[in-house]
Amino acid sequence: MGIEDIRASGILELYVLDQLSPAEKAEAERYLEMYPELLRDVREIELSLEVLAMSTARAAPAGLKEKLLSEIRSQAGQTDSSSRTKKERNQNWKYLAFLLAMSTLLLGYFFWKKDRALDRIQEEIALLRDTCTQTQEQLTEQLRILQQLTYPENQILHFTAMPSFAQTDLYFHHNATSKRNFIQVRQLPPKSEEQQYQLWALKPAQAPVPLDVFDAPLTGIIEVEYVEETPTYAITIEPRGGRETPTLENLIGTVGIQ
Amino acid sequence: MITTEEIISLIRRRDEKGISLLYDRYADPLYGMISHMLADDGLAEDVLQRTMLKVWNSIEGFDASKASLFTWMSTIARNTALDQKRLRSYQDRQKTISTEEIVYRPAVRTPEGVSMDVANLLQGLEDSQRLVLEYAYLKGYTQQEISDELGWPLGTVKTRLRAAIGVLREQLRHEKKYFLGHSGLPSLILMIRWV
Repeated sequence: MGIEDIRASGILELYVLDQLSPAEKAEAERYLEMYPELLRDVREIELSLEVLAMSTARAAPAGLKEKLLSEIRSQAGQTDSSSRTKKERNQNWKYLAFLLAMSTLLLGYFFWKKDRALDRIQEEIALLRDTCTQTQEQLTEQLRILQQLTYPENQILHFTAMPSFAQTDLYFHHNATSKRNFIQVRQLPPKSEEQQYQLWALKPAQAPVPLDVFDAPLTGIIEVEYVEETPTYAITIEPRGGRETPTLENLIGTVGIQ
Repeated sequence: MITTEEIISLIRRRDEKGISLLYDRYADPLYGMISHMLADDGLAEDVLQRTMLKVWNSIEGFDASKASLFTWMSTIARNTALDQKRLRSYQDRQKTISTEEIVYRPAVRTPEGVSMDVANLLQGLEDSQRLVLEYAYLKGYTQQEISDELGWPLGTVKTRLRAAIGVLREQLRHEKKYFLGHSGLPSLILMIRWV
């Protein structure tokens, strides 16, 4: 993922809000290592939220600070006492510990030599297992999508492209039973790197509801949000990350739900 | 004025003065966040004390290259508050409270060193953007929980949350003194005049 994609994805905001899964958090930290300039974005997000927190501050209860300091002193006292006891115990056992350590070292060296070959084999097995798992997940995902697309109640609707985007060729897979939508991309109009496609839900007498932002999917199909009682969905081209209101001159097309 | 780095250093040396200074500087905003999440002053006090103790006991786990001190502390506060909420089955009560509007203080002073007017900053947010920020940051809701609570599509929540933080960042960028120096947080005093 490029730096602008990372910025547009919203992952940095969720990183600061601590709303990422451990895997996503690790991914975010990998991006920060890869692109150190993103640290400035993170700092700005942190400061923005800090300002919000400052503006809703409340005076902490009177006397709480003293309670806290008292608790800390009490903890420190326990630690000191515990340390002294441990020290005496350590004196008594230090010779035995030394002998045990030496024995462990000798045994450890022996087994280490024996296990090196085994480790290499286990690493190879782990690598193969990961590859298999990844392949299996990809196949499962493709099968899941295929099942959705062949579901009996599935409606396959063709997007009506606007004249200025006549080359667009999209199918909208809508299923009111499973409440899922997919967009099948045959052809999308070109856009710049700083832009993304954005889906909208259009309801009578209501402002368009902003939904997913996406790039052309590599697999040719992408799942998008399902919004109840939406008679029409539309797609526009918007700045990366999406907007709250659609840019009408960039309206690619619409699809009516029957 | 003593810097944040110096305070961290004092705490690492187990100097009680460090936690005392930290408390003076950050207890109020943390207490505000915790109160909004729990809507119970007694419980909020208990959570604030636990939070400060965790900060004292876990300071070695703080990595300034990954997060600012306040972000790290607010994460501890939020998680501690959520644990308490789950323990005491406060979900139903929280739902009622969560619909209340958060009152922004007309004037706030933090103990660090630069003053700035952020009234325009907060007024630059649309109502929906302020609401999504309150739920995500001040009340500790996940995006899915916000979607369920407010009846907004998940994509809308994501777009609005990102846009809201974007508005704050953009407004703060105009307050150049706030962002002077890219490394480390400049000291600040926020004077919020809510007009």
